[in-house]
Amino acid sequence: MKRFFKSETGIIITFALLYLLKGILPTAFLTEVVIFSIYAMGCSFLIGRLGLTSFGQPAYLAFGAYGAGVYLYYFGHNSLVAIFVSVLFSLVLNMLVGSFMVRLNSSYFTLCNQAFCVVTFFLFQKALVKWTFGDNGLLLISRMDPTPIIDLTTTKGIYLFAFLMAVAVWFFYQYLMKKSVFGATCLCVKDNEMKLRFLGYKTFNIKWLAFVIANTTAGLAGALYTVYFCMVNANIANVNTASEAVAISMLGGAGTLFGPLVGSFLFIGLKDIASQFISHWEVLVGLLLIIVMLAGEKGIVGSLEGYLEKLKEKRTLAKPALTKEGGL
Amino acid sequence: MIQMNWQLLISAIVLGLSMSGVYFLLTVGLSLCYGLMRIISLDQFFYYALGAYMVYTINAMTGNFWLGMLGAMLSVLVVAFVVERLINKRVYSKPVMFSMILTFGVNLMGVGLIKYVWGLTPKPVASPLAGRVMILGTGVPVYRVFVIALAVVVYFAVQYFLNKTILGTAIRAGIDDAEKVKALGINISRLFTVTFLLSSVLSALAGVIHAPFVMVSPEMGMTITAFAFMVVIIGGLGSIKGTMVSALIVGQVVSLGSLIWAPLAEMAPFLVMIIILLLKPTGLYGSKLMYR
Amino acid sequence: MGMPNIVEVKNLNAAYGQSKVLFDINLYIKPNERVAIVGRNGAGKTTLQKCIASLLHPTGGSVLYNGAELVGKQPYEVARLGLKYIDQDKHVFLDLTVRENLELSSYATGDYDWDKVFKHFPKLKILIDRKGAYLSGGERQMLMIGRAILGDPKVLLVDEPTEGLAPSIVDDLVTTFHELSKDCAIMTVGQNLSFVSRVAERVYAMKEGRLVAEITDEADIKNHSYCEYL
Ligand SMILES: Nc1ncnc2c1ncn2[C@@H]1O[C@H](COP(=O)(O)OP(=O)(O)OP(=O)(O)O)[C@@H](O)[C@H]1O
Ligand SMILES: [Mg+2]
Repeated sequence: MKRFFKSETGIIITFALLYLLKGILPTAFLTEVVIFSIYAMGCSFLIGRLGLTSFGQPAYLAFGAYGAGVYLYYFGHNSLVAIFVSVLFSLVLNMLVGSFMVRLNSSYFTLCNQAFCVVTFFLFQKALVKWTFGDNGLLLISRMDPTPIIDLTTTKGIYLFAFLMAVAVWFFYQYLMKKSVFGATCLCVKDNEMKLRFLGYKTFNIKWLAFVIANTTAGLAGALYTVYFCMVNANIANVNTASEAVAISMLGGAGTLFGPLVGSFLFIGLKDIASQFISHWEVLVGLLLIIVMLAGEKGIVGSLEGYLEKLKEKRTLAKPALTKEGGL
Repeated sequence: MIQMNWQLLISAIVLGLSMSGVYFLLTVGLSLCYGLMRIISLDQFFYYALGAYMVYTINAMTGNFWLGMLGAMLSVLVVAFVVERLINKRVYSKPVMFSMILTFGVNLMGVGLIKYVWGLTPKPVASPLAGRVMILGTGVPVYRVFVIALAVVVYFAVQYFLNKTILGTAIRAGIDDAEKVKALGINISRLFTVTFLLSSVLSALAGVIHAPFVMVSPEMGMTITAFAFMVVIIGGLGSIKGTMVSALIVGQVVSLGSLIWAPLAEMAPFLVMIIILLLKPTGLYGSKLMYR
Repeated sequence: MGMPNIVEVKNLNAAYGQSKVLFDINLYIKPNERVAIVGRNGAGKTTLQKCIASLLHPTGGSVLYNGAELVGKQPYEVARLGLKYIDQDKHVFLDLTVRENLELSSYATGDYDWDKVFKHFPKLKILIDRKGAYLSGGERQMLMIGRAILGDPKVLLVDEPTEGLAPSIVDDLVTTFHELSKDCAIMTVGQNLSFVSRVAERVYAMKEGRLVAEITDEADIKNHSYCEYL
């Protein structure tokens, strides 16, 4: 069971099932869940695999969102190209920002990212207002041409595309976490950075690469958001949402493959349902964060994995006893 | 013309100093909490906003700002005590990230509650000290001078408390190694509570004295967060002196920066922070301890 | 030997997360006795002492002090009852002066009679205003012990007191321990065999989380015969 959920088929089947849920649940909700889970994936990887908690993820989301937005507004009309360009754009920016951020110890990393997020928000809202139009944002509806093969201007098209992207991201991270040496060294950094340094590894490179990968994933999510909403404004970098990515990572289980998906599904679902009853979403999200943090470190998927492991252990332990009774 | 610029400069410096005062009061608690409990207590920003709202309410009811100040500090004391006992103390032994998200949750809930109780419209608080004093030929509002003086008094009071009282000695020992303080026979959990309450009351005081400068709004805690972070990062987490020095730097950078070009007010401290971190990754006064 | 035990450890088990470290430890300490625990690195000596001092929560078993259960008590309560633990890594509070270090202990125990500290360690009186960071290893050890004997503890758990100390200072420490044991029981952990043989009246040998032997015979202690168990 556990093995299955870590394999490529597991990923495909999970997403196929989720895709079919559109018969029951609103497509808008599912699209948002899928894009958000891509966004949370990077954050979850950083927390669970490197022990780096970034409280500034909206900044990296905004890189991607504005990459696509600016391309569509000023240069081209093809959304597919826009997404591609924005991923490149956020890749380059993350390489620059990362080389500063990963030098810091974990507490400073967290704080600096949040400060960086505020500055990014300010950049897009005020400093570059001439080009970004601040809070009004870039309106792209009239600037997006229908794309060939999958038409991203339709709800169905963007939904399918987001799914395909998610599957690709999941394949990539599955390889990263379960199969590559790089994934293993990341865990070592989390465990004991000093020791790894004494072994002759340059931990800077490992952290830098992980940072770039994780936040470029966030950039991809940002680009998808822009194309999905047909607009982008400064609010995407709003620091008030910074805790959501972290909370979703923790809720689902940081560093697990399916944690971000489960977390996004529950978090967005709960928020949507509850906001019909409570007018002030802050109280609710705040409460949710507190509960998630007090409930434990493993998250839903993490606890489930632990539970499955125990089951397996029991079964292997039970076997010899059985054979003895059988008189073999 | 030159005369005019000179006056502008003086008043910008004084404004910067009073901003430094607010930053210092707000961040000294963050720094203390990190030093002793190894938590980053983001709910301090809630106490800051709550302090501002309490002084607004009491001031509006009684017309007495000073009574409001007292009431704000007392009410925050109670709220912070409840939060610490019910929620925060559960994450003291966990990695910093837990406390950050948890207290961010508390902060967010606080913002929601403030919106619920006081509504969304910003509230004005009149300055309790009208009038101006002349400093180097420039008229400066008395209230700003008062804020600076208050921050100076608090700085020395905190230093006195930490260095000259037994409770302060225990806190410094705990910052060094909390485990060993336990083994000596000191109730560390009580020490944690005291430190947390002290921090919260100072944050509330920051909100109170900041209220006449700005409109009191639900988001005010969120707005000041980034500046507060820059102050603690530049100064070095866990150092009181560092917090003071960097509050001075950030205050001046913000106020002089906005004199040159308005957007600089928000960007410049960030640039200063990056430069300092590149030179010294633990901040100006952050100790080796903080490498962990 | 009708004297009741001051400390009694029964079936003590301890673990760090999933890995078990102590297995069914049973031992006792009599009042004013000097006991030593010997064992290789990683045998679990420190863990055992920390469990007794309530700095770690055991996974099972009990620790009785004067007949009262200590398991589940807060570390500071245990210290105030008169059972003090002195750490292995000689960590005095670096930012605090000797005076402040002592004040802190006085504050915790309510015992402000520093003369008994200076009686054992006259040197501390001279160093009174020096910061912990600038003390030598031997001086730190003096301060750690001096700090601990405020409040008249009945049991001192001293973890590897000789580590990194010059032989002459170790000699002083032996004398100090003999004097201290007039007022309290001492349980020390030792790697230094000559120190153990000069200090201990009774030795427990520990191996891989288990007590493997108890040596009471004076001659056996003198000629380190417990080494065969390690
Ligand atoms: N905090 C910890 N987390 C996990 N394992 C630990 C921890 N502290 C100690 N251990 C393990 O528990 C075992 C016993 O350690 P302990 O420190 O009690 O040994 P010791 O006998 O005091 O050794 P030494 O002579 O080196 O001081 C060791 O295997 C050690 O690796
Ligand atoms: Mg040891």
